[in-house]
Amino acid sequence: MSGLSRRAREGITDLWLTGPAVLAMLVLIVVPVLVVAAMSFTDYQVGAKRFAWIGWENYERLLSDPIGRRAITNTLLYVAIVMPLSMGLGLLVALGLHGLGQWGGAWAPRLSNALKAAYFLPVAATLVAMAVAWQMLLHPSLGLVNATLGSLGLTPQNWLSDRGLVLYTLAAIGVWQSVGYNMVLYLAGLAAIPRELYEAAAVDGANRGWERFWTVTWPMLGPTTLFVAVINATGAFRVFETVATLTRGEPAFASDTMVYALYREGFVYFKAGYASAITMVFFVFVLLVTLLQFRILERRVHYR
Amino acid sequence: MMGLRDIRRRFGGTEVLHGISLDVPEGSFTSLLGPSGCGKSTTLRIMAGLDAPTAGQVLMRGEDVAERTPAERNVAMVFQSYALYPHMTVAENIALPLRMREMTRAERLPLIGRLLPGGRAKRAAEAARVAAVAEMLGLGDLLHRKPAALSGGQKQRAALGRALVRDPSIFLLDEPLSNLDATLRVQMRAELAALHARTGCPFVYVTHDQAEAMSLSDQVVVMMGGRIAQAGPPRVLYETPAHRDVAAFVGAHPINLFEVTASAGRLAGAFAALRAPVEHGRAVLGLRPEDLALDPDGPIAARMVRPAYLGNEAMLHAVLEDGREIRALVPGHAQLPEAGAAIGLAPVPGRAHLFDAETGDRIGAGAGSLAA
Amino acid sequence: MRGSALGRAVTLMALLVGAGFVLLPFFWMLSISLKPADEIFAPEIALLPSRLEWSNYWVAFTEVELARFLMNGAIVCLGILFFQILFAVPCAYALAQRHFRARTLIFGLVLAGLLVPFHVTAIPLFLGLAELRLLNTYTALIVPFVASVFGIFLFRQFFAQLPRDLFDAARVDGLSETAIVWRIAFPLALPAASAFAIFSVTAHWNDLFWPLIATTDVSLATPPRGIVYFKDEEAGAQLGPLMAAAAVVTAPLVIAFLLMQRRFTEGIAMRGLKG
Repeated sequence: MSGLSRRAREGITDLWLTGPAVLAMLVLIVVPVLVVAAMSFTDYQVGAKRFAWIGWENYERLLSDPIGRRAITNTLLYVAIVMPLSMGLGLLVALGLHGLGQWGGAWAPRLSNALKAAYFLPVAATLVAMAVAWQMLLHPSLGLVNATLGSLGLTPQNWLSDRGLVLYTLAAIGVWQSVGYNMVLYLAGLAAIPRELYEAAAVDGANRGWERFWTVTWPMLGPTTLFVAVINATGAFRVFETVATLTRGEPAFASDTMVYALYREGFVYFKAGYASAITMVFFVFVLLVTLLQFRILERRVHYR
Repeated sequence: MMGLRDIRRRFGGTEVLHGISLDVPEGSFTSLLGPSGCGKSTTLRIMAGLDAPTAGQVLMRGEDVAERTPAERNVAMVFQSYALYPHMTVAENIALPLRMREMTRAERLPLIGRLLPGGRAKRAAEAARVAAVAEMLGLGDLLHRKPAALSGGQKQRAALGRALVRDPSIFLLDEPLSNLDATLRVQMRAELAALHARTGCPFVYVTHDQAEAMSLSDQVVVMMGGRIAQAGPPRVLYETPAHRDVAAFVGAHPINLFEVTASAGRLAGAFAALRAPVEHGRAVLGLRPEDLALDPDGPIAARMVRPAYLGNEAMLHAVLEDGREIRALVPGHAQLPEAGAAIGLAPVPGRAHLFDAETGDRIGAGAGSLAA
Repeated sequence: MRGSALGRAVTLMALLVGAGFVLLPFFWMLSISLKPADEIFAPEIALLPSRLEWSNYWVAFTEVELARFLMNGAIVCLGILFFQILFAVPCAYALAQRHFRARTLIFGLVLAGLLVPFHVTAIPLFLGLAELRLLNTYTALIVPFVASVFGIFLFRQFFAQLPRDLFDAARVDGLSETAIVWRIAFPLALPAASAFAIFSVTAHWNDLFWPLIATTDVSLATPPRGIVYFKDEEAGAQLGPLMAAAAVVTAPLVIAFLLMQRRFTEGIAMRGLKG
């Protein structure tokens, strides 16, 4: 073969196999993360010829400016609503479908499967398109929701343009979209619980549904719940599509969120330095959630 | 044909091969025999070129092949797990090495390859070769199955077919029968021997089953702890084991080993009737159960504990006067003594082995022969 | 699990009502997309159209370039998937089945990469692509995603389970390492690859964030970007066609999901590991 030693040939093979991916990771992930971190300490504007290092000024501005703070608190509130609701509903649906799948008769598992598909449909669907559909449902005068409220004698609402309401409306859409996802993860968790545990619990006197749930199901779902919680939290922190499609942070920044704010500041107003600071704060939140998960997992392993 | 010269292999901080030197003559059937972890598979992988030695030389026909890949060495290898490609049919599995060797890159392409004039001819030749190999191994009807649809024995044959298809310069087999059940193993053993005879190609056969190694090979290399304990024809290994561990590993029935002391050319205690080639000191005496005969006048006195009747033969479990256990194999038709009975055992002349108590090495030639 | 008949009835009702709520936006979207304009804007709201009005779909395909959006979506998604697999599979194979010094380092890089949401890298990527004058091209829509750390991780885990013997056999049979990757490793990884493909395609078909940043040219709009254009442009006058467009954009994934529920659920469930 060639004059190269076998060792050198092996080295070239390793480089050939991993090189493209490693180079792409460096250029597309590592370098951008370093750049965005550095840029968050500058006043760089997109297209500007020069920039200055301004220390923590962007961060100070973000945390002192009511609009910047608003984006952060809105995001946290959004997470605080979406995460527990969508997890709780996901668990309830999973418990219901899991039970339904075990009823007698040929139709029960089939119905359970069909319902599972229905609940999962929003996860598979294109969120932007579905946001537009939601807008029609919530339309102040033409929407089905207000029409129903009206016919019930309740006051119709401006769901997407009422300052007090808009964030909750977006949160509701967020819950609608992610319930099916949590349901799937919980169904997998439920399927992994050995039947003998329920039998043992029954021997020990835990017969009623709730007792069974608290003595067996819930503790056994612990790891699933932790996993689902982290996924929901990091997912909810990223909320962007509904905001960009439906409200653009309006009215009066009542529905502004961190990712939308970084988009607006960076790519509409071209304030790259400031947008980088928002990016970094967002990144830290997401990292904290993930690291928290590692901490919990680690402790669990230690005390086992 | 293939030679290893003082091969050493280190994984991280631990050396697993401490200087292996051996020769596989042209046409020979060589077994690497040893317990798991003795380095026999590593040695085979180094022969194949799948692993590189930390130091030492691998020679093929006298040439150093360190720089050659397995394909360049033209070795064929059969793996313990068969390693058939699960997504290919038996025919495709067998044809792949041929295709990689015989066809150019363009000719290998699925559609275009068929259109190239050279490709078509080679494909026809390949199909004929695959069919011939399959016929030889009795795989004719299974060519279009995927490995998952084959039994263990059929997978083994397919793996052999893949190795056979391209006239390798040497055959390397890594515990190829260990995943088969006992009956099939014996049957495949005979087929391997026939295969070896037919190809005339040197075989290197890694196994931990001494019966396989003994029955198939003309050379058995016993490896212990990363070293060659002894290499030679099966008969030599059995009759004159060079080391206590070789004696313990080779032979269908575990050998009896006793720590003994010699004084004035005689062994002490229960084995006083045996002559020692050493004047004084401690040693280990090895007596195979099949080399002990039941004899009321035998020099070794023992008390029966339990006979284990096996049909054609019976294993007698007994204890010596000093309480140590001894086993003797007698023909099945013999009158078996009852438990508790006093018996005498006579060693077959020249078949007692004596090993150094410290190193385990065989002591002297004709060691441990019977006292006159 | 036993329960009283009443309990069962309540559970079943609750599940059916819940599913009804979940499906409501889908229903409303289809209903409006099939309504004539006068019925959409009528003060009395009807659940179903009085007659099926297909012209909304016709308008969606002719007045805005809906077909173009769909084609852009397909080009971008398949382009991304192609390069992701091209880069990830060889790297994952080397990480799982070869031994070299940088292996731990590279795998560490992959694990660290899993922690980084795409949004974090958006500003520098935008600036870099602007510098290279690549904004408003397919390249800008595809390139940022070609290094899928998640893909590398997923394939590595898969390859690590495969027996070493299989790859040694291939080496003995004369396959080069590249041939091993594409002739042995990748075909065996097809189940993982199909789940990854679903994960990747759904993520990028549905993505709005990056297309909103990287393109302003309407002829490059991916389906979600196109919907936003349409919505902004028509300012509420073309609700029927807008809903028709939304339905068309959603249809490919929803239909694919209904046809391959298990694969799809698996693929999308991976989203949690990397968004």
